[in-house]
Parts: sequence; structure tokens; C-alpha cells
Amino acid sequence: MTGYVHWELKVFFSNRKNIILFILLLLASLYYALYLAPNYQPIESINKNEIEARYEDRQEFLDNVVIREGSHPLTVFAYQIFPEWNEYDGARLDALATGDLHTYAEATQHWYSYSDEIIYPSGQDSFLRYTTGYYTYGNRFSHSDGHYAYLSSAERYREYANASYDVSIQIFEERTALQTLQRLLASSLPYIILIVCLFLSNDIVMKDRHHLSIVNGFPLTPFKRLMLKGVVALLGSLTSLVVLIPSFLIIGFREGFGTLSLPVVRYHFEFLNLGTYESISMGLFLVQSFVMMLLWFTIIISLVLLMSIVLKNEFINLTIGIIFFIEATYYQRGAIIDAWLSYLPTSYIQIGNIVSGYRQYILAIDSVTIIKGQLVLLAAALLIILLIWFISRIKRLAI
Amino acid sequence: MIQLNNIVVQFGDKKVLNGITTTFQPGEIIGLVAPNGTGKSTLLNVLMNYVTPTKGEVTFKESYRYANKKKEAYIHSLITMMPDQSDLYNHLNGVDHLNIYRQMWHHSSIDPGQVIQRLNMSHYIKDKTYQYSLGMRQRLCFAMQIVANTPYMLMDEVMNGLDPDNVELISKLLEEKKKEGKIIIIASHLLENLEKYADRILFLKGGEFIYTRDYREKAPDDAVFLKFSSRENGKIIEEIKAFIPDLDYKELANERVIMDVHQFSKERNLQLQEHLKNNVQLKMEIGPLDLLDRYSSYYSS
Repeated sequence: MTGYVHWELKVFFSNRKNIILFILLLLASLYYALYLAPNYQPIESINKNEIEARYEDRQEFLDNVVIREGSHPLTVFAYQIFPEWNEYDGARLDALATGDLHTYAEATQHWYSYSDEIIYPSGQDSFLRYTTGYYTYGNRFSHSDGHYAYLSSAERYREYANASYDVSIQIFEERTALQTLQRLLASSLPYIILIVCLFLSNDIVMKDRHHLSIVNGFPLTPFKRLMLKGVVALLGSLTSLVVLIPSFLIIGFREGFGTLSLPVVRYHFEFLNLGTYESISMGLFLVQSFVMMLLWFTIIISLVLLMSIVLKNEFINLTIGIIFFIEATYYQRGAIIDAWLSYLPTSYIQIGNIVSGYRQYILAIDSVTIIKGQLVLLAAALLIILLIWFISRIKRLAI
Repeated sequence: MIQLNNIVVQFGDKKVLNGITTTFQPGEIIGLVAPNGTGKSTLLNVLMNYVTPTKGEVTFKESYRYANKKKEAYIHSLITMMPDQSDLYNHLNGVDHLNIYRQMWHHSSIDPGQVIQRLNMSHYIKDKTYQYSLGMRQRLCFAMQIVANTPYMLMDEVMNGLDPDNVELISKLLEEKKKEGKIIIIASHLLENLEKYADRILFLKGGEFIYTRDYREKAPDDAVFLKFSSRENGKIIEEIKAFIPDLDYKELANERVIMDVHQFSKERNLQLQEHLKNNVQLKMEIGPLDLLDRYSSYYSS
């Protein structure tokens, strides 16, 4: 059995198509690390000049304003909220000046909480705005985006304030290698890795077509042979994660690696804006994301195996890629979403956002949870493997 | 032991194998002879369970049948079919191929190094197989099966593309494997050499064995024939007919003319030989029919 795995691994890693895929992935990740990551500009960046300007404007207002009966309500409102706001901004500026980043984090946590308290109730079309970066053309959810960013930032800074590790501006702006990985897991990386997995494994069975007189005589049951092929495809797909390591190191040496204790904010949806923000460690986030990724690999590879023995065409296997995009057809932000959709494996494709709970926030549902996601994906994988077992018993594995 | 019991293989209306029943014993080399497309490979595929017979069954070691996938995997640990040279992995080298056979049949396999030496493959075995010539590929395929060293070995056209030295080398190795008690079944339509090492030859036609010859026993048919071949068979026959008008002869597909010598009186026989001796272009022989003659006789249309 191990002999067969060795053989399949040898064939897998000497397969020209797979080598090209690994090279392309490596080049793309290096491009990201060398050109895109350095230009990353977080919306919630630390801009001392901006804080200072804001602080001085408000302070000037507070120093000069005279509130009397008949003053404009907004003047009164500003007079009421500016002192506390400036208290936090003042503390932030002092902390930045002295380089005391823990104090900065504490003040910033209060600043975000207080800012949201003021801005959120004012509503989408109010004169009060979150950071301007959320108000992009066509974004109907800018207010909601700002709300999430502020409260999750507050939670993040609360953790930084109490952190036992050294904090830095890179950590605050989530530029370290681990935080970059976290950010990518919440955006395009899962899609890229899963598509790579599909391309790597799509011919794992069908390639045998060219070597039938060798492989068909192996003393293995078809099911065992398929499962061992699955293991090889899984190991090969995991290698695609290894290919990302050079880029991870480049970002790490430039911006710092961060630590596995860094906070990642996890959101739990509750109706009436009672959702909660809590922190999990970066280590836990990565482990949970990895488990989800592993389950997705298993599903994709199992589907490839199943389709290979049923339809026997490696190009048709590529249509499995459709499952990556099905979710977009039924999970739309702002729509009313049926809870049963959370039992579909396709609902858990956005791995980072499932683990962080951000999907719960933007879809306003509590049904897509990490545990349910893992169970649904596991059940789907087992079901497909069961089908493979059944079909491989009744069908000849002549490819 | 391998037992075939009433094997019928039918594709649509065409019966490729029609009730084959035979037994192969350990320490036996069996030559399966038939022209292309007459069921040789199908029979080997039935033995490997690549083709499921419409009727009948194959039994290995007196009790193992292809009843399910587990049994099939077990039987495949006892039997190998020589790989087709076009199925080799071009981007891997010969050692890789030998190693997978060693690993997959680890219960019976032998050291690939030993086989490489024996088959004179050392000078090319580490090259990728796309660089191999036809004969090199064929030797590698044979070596793979020898490395697996299973009790039952099936070979389809094993001598294809081999030069006479390598044919000799492989023939010797086959003899040794036979002495180790293996059952070796060789399907071929190339008869040269097969007669030298096969214990039994089976001719397949119309889905049945039409002729069986066991070289360990005395030939049942001891008819003696006068055989000749020339560029002008027709003309020579006409000349013979001039003094033997009632000549009973047969012209085979291999351009040999055969005639049973028992039909001639002693004088006629001498007269005939005298006449043929004078023809310098003619090759004459007296004796029983050899495999080539039988083949031509059975398969000439």
C-alpha cells in the first residue's frame, strides 16, 4: 500500500501539468509578496496627522463655542460628544509621541467603541460617517461595513492593550505575515487554493488510462486504489500551501511575522444589533481554517474520484469548479436568507469569513457557524466517499 | 494451478471464446497461438478478470475465483500480465518501473538489481523510458514481470521487437522460471522460438482450442510429409503431376507445399525426390509438420 502511495506521489510530482501549476502558484504568491502586499493600505490605518487634525479641529471648536438657548442642535450635539472623543484622540496622540503602543491600543479601543456609539445610531444617511474608505461608489452597505470595522477594531485593540507580546504599528495595521495570511483567507486565497487543488487532482484517475496494463494488474481493490489516489491528491494539494511559504517569509522579514497569540475577531450574530465581537487567537483561527481547507480538499478530490469513475473524462471533472461559485447565487447581502441553506456544503466556501463569523454579520444570519460548517463538509465528504465505495463495487474500474 | 471451466466470451453476436476448458499446471510454459484478433488477448484478459466471461469461470489454486473485488486483489497478487510497452511512464526511468513492481508484489518480488544484470539493462535502466528503443522497452516490460515474480505470469507477444540475442536471453530466463514451478502463458502469433521453450502449444480458432501439442509427450500424429517451397510452386506441382497424376498435396499459406509420403510407393517416392533434387531453387524437407506448417494449415483461409 505504501509502495503504491510512493509510486503515485512520484507520478504526481513529476507530472508536467502539476509542476507548472506549482510554479504558477509560486510566481503569483511572490508577485503578491513583493508588489501587492507592500502597497496594502488598510482603511483603519494609523495616521497621526489625521488624528491630530481631527483633534485640533474639535479642540478649536470646544475652545471657542458658546452654547446658549437657541444654539443649533448639532452645535449642542458636537459640544456634548467632542470632549470624550478628543480625550481618546489626545491619549492616542500622546501614546504615539511617547511610543507607548499598549496605551495607544487602549485609547484606540475606547475611541472605536465611542465613535461607533455616536455614529451607528445616526444611520446610513447621517452627516456622521465612519472612516471614508467604506463609502465607495455603489456600496449600499458602507454604514454597516464601518460599524463592523469599528467594533471589531475596538475588540482587537482591547486585546492589544492587554497583550503580553510586543505590539507594533504593523500589528495594528494587520500587515504582519500571519495577519496577511488571515486577511487573504478571508478573501481570495481559499478560492485560489481550492481551484489549484481541483486542477492538481482532476487527472489523478484518468491519467491511468495511458498505463492500463501496468496499473490494472496491481493487487489492490479499486476502492483502495481510489482512496490511495485521494491521499496522494490531498498530499499534493497540501504542497500548494507549502509553495506559499517563500512569500510568507518575504512578508514576515519585511513586516514581521506576528505571533500565534494575535487576536482575530470572531462575530456572533444576534438580532437587533446585539451581535457580539470576541477574540480568538491567530493560532486557533489558522487551525480552524486549515481544518476547513482540509475538508474542502477532501470534498473536491472525492468528487474528482467519483466523476472519474462515472463519467471518465478529466475535462468534465473541471466542472466541479462550479461549486465554488454556487453560494453567490443564494447568499446575497441584504436578502432574506433561509436557514436550510446553511446545510449546503457550498455555503462554507469563504473559509476565513466563516471562521471569523463575518459571514454571519454580512448575511445577518446565525446559521452559518464554523462547527456546522465542519460537520456539513465532513458529512458531504463521507457521503461522496460512500458513493465511490458503492460504485467501485458494482462498476469495473477500467478507465 | 489454473483451471478454465467452459469460458464463453461474447461481444454482441460474436462469440470470441466458445467454451474453453483446460488446466494449466505449475512448471509449465503454455504457448497460446492464433493470428491477431482471434481471442488470444481476450483469454489473457479473462485470466486477469479485465474481461468478465459471459459464462464459465477461472479457478486459481483450486479454490480462488474472481467472486468479488477483494478476491480479485488477492488473485492479482498471484498473477501478473506483462505490461504493454506503450503503457510505460515516459517521464520516469526503468528503475522506477521495476521498483513499483517490487513494491506492489512485495510478497513474491525479487531484487530488481539482479534482474537488471541478468537482462543486460544496466547501461540504460536509469534513463527515462522515452529514450528507449522498442527492444529496450520490451525488455523492461519483461523485467518488470520478472521482478514481481508471481506464480502465474501472462505474456502477450513477449518477443516483439527483440533481437536474436535477447530472444535467447529471455528464453533462458523463461526456462528458469518454469523450473521454479511457475505457470507461464505466452500468447503469440510469432512461432519462431516458441516451439523451443513451450511445453504445450494451444491453437485457438473460432473461440476454441483446435489443436493442442504437448512437447513432453510423443506426437500423436506421426504422419511424415514431404515439404518443399520455391518461387515456382505451381510449375513444380505441374511437373510432378506429369508422372504422379493422382498427387494429393496441399499448398500452405507460408508457401510450402506438403504431401503425405504414405500416398507414394517406394519407387514413386524416389522418383519424386530425384525430380525435386534437380531443382536448385527449391528447399525440400521430409518429416512431420512443424508448428509453422500447422499454423499455416489451420489458419490459411
